[in-house]
Amino acid sequence: MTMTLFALAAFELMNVYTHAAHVSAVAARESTPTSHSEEVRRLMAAAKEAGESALELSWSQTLLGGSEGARKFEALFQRMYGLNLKLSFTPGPSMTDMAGKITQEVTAGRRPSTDILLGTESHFGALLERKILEEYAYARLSPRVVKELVTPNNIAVEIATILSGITYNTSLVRPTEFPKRLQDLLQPRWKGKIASTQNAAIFDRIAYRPEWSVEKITALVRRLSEQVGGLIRASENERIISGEFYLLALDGGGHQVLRRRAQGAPLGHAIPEDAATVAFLHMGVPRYTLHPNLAKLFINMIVSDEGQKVVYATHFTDHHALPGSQAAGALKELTAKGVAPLRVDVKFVTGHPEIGKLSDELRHILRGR
Amino acid sequence: MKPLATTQDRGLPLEAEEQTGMLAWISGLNPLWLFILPVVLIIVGLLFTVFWLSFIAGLPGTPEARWTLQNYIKLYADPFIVTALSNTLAFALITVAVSLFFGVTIAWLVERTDLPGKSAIYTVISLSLLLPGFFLAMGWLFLLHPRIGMVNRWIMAFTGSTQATFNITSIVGMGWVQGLSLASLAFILTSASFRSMDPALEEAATIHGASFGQMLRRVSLPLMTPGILASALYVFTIAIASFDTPAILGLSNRIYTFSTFVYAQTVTGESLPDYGPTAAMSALMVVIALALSYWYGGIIRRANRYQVVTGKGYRPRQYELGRWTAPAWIFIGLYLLLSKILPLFLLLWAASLPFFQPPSAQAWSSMSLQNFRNIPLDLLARGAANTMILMAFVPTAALLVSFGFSWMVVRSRSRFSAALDFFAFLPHAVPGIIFGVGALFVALFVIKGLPLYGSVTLLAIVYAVERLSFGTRVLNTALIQIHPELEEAATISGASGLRTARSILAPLVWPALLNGWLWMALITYRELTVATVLFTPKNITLPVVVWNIWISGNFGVASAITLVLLSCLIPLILAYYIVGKRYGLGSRSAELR
Repeated sequence: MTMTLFALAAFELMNVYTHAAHVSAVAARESTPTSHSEEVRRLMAAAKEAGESALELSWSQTLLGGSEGARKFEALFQRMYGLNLKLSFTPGPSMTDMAGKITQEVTAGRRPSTDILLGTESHFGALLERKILEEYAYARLSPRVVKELVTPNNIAVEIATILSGITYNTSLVRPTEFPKRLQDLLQPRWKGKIASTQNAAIFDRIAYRPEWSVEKITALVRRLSEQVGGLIRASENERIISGEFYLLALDGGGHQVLRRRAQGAPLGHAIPEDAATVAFLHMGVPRYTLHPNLAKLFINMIVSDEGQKVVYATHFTDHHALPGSQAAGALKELTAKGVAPLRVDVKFVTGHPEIGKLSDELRHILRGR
Repeated sequence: MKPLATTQDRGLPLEAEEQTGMLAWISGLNPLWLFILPVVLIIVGLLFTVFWLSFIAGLPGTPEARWTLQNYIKLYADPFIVTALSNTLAFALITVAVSLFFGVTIAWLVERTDLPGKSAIYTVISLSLLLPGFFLAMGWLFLLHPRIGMVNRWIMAFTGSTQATFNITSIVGMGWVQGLSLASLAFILTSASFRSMDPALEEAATIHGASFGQMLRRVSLPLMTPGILASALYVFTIAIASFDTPAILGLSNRIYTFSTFVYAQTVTGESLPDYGPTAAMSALMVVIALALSYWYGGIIRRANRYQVVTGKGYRPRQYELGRWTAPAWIFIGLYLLLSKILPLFLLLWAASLPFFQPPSAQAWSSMSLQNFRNIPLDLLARGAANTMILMAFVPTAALLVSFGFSWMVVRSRSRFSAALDFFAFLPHAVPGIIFGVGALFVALFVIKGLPLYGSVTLLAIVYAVERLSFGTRVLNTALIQIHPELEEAATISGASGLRTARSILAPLVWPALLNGWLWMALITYRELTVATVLFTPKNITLPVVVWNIWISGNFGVASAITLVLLSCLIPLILAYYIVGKRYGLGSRSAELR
């Protein structure tokens, strides 16, 4: 089984690069930023005809700049489409809670709490077969929306890259001490000083890297559990800044650290060479929404060149495979060191149905049973 | 004795007689049942929904949902549940001990001594209800965390020790913080029972030569015990369900309690919440709540055995503090410092900084008003509008329904009195999250025809049901203290029922009603658990605005919003102060009976 996993992981690893190269090439070749595609014009007309003039969005305040980001996106939308959009943003709970809420609402035939669902490959993987999200040929929106960005069943589009790793307090952890590999977290000096997340995020994915296997990562997390001082939310990096914990392993992505560093926080982010993954933030349109046309136009805007700039300005990451990406630099830096990150997308999640069980097991270990 | 007439005796067909009997029974029903029955049905319905959910696998309402026992097996076969439950029990008991230590002592000082400034104490303690509990937890983290706690650092620097003296992330630490937070509630609840104590028994003990200590031990404490026990039970049930303190302090040391364990159970490898194990855990809590409610009923029955309210006017004896006045104020000041001033200071501190950090020269230099500028005003306005609607509607509706319950319990000779009192207390004993989850699924999948899901109306209904326990405690007390002879005298003098209610009952009950209304409005303002479960962008309330911003890591903006809201609520707090001063503080409204 380990050999099979190894082969699969190696295959997926290669995919990260071939995928990115393909997306960039196609998008750069076919991008026409000044004019709208026929499909976009059709959506604009449909929105006008249906009387859609507002978008109601809800996701965590920590994503895409929250309320402040919403104002920037509203302005860009109006500029890009010439439509007088009113964007109403409500800070919501975590992505998991929001995905569950939307699932219940749509299943009950209710109007969803948000016109656009924001989530990772975990959430969209779980929703793939549930008929919660509208299936729509997003690739028709723009040449930038190449099919590699679109999830199976056409339920969502990747909009930003997430590079998870370890968040650390730069005042407390010297560069020489910093864990280069996951095994380094087991050094006695870190005992009680490491925080992890309640959902054991990313560890389950890492099991599919060539260095690891389900058995090996389970054994590592079991030993790591002895080192872990406490469990926090991935967004609680204030508790790393305060020194309550020295490290957060593994975190929700380097973009959260960049956001805090821009405010002057003593935070650093690094990716252990044996734990590199590339995951994605996605956007999809739930069924029964009142504003389906505007929602799709919004997604088109997010993937556009200008949209990606605002995504980076508000979220400190964008999609590394799209032309002009600022996040691509971080990935290049990683690969320059010889580290090959594992691509973790919806296909990956659905291709490994056993990953949920592994995730549950790792979660139970980390809670200190 | 003339035997009761039978159907055959009166020569009526059996069916007609049954109908006549049914009509007579219905027409003889107290119209108050119209208020009571729907509420009883809501309570039973919501609890039933939770039991139903506990036997469902997969997301309810989705095609994959099916009947199962797996939720119970998954939950109770997990040895971790024993740890979580024993942690919860220890945490709740320590919380009760701490809250009673401060709450009962301050209540005794305020009610039974000549301590000056009583109205101010009531107001300050009421104000504390508006401070989110997570700020207190964060504050204590900075004081007593083994690594970053300032007090520990000072002690270690002074003694040269390498080990921290205190650990706030322990069960004792969590209980201490939660106890401080709930001491104000214990104060409000027990002060009422101190106030209604007849001084005759204490005076008799003094006349017979008992010392102050003997009198306290043999007379006062037995008289106070039922009230204190009932208050302890009230605090205990809140502690079991509390989330913020265990989440901030407990999880940072991987200590799980009921609420954090339930929360962890909803997180799955599939990245969609799983409510089955939560419902199974909640089902256990409902059983515990039923037992607690039954026990509570027993306490109240024993309390009535001690009851010395006779209708005659009296005031409990007030002890002169003399030279103990200063120590009493120091004690109260210490409590206020630890539980109110500290979180207020932290609010100010967090609101002024770009990110939360311990005090330092660098922190001082980075202080600004940026977080206040970043407050999303449109969102705040939406939350404020919904919260104001709830603050106006919930106390009014809850008091109306509570009146129906209390009247039936206190004044009617209905054989259902005890059962009604049990139902009235149940919403308090059952953790709010259970009602929230029940209401969520009923609104989504059961009453699809009604546009309740996501509405403020749904929140208002669940809040009002939750407040029933408090409302009936207020009105039970008020009605017990009004002797029926007063109403009978008015009736004999020719007053109509309406006039009796208007001229006799209303003026006597009014202070308690007003006090209870204000108190409920404050509790409604800060209600978070149910609001989070039933949250949609349309019905968002102010506490959910603050919570959602807080959990996304924006401590500064969340603090800034809380401070702005506290400032806006000053008129309500002043109203509370004025009402308290005019009608004899707030205690009468909250007496546990």
